[in-house]
Amino acid sequence: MNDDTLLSHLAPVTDEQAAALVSRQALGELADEIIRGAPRQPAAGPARQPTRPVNPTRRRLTWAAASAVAVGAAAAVAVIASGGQPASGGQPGSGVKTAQNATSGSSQRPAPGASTTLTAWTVTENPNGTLKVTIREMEDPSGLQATLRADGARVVVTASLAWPAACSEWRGGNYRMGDQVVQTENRTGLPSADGTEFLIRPSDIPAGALLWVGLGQTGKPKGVSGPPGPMSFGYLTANEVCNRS
Amino acid sequence: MTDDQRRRFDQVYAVHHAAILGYALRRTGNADDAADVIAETFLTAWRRIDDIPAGEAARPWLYGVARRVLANQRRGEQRRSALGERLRSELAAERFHREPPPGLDGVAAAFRRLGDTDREILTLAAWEGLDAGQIAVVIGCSRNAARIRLHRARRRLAAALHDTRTAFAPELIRGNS
Repeated sequence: MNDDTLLSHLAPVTDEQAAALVSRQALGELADEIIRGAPRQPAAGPARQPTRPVNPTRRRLTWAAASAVAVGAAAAVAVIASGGQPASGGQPGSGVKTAQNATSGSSQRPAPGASTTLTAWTVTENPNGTLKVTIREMEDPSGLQATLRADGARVVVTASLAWPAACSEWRGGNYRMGDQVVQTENRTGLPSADGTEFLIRPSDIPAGALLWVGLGQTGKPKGVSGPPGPMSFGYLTANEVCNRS
Repeated sequence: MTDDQRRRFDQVYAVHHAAILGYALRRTGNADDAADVIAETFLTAWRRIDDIPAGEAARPWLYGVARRVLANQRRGEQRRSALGERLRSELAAERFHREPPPGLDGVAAAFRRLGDTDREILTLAAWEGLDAGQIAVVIGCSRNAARIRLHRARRRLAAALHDTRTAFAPELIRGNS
């Protein structure tokens, strides 16, 4: 256990817990107030700096660093979305194979003592109608989306913390995402030994909406595979264009 | 305002509001202050929507804005925001857990002994999961400077843990020094 892990346990609240404290209605009202009431400043306006101004050289370095992060993230997404190739250390296509196994309805756990490679992700249908999703490696998000849809969950899965450009947010009701549809099993927000796990209740996805599951990789060194980092959930307006994304 | 700018704001807000709210709650533990941070941060984001970096680089950019809002609060320069009354009332009904988990009292004590600068950079790494390049964006320094500051802060935390004679120090030193 390193110091970041130790300190992470001292955090009073995780992002996931924070999001569950407030309703989508309250968040939507705030966004509307901001947009209705706030005139935009000129786009080229400088950042507000409460301390001494940043010198030009430092500003260039800072933005170069930000650009490097953006390019790195985009490259990671491109690799993941390009056909389910493992990020490292796996066999090509293993995520898709896993998806096909996962939809068979049989137990998703390897038999005790069996010599198997851990699958990238599994989807298990529970007797109460919920779907348990376990992600061990960020591979084949489109396969995960197809598997969940085959199991009755109208979802859009992205390998980043941004929904597809063709989609727009659904604002059809007042709900708390954490209570109604998605329930992460590990309330600390940290991946468990099995990976990142969460539940989806397909029957609770509102009519006219698609559940969006964004799988982020923030905070991982480049080239490091593993379960997703931060995740985002939301509802998107269900239409033909978004449904195809 | 164009439709593209509105869509861009909606997406940034939907993707990052939980992270900014979490950032604020982890540092204030106060409903009013946290509500102000998220309101003022996204108000700035809306006003400067064309400046927000694309993709996941938006998150450290937003943390940097939230950090400045918090700093203004602490200096008493931040007026109470009129935005987000419903958000404020919902947060006010919640209680935030602030006690360290059992067995981590020593870590918490060592952490409290550090200076504000060390605590900030360590929490950006441990709580927000940022790397040195992302931390540089948040605090407005070079990537190399952030890396050095993070390294030094970890060394000082390790030393503080030794002083508190916790059982965590050996693992800590192996992990990141």
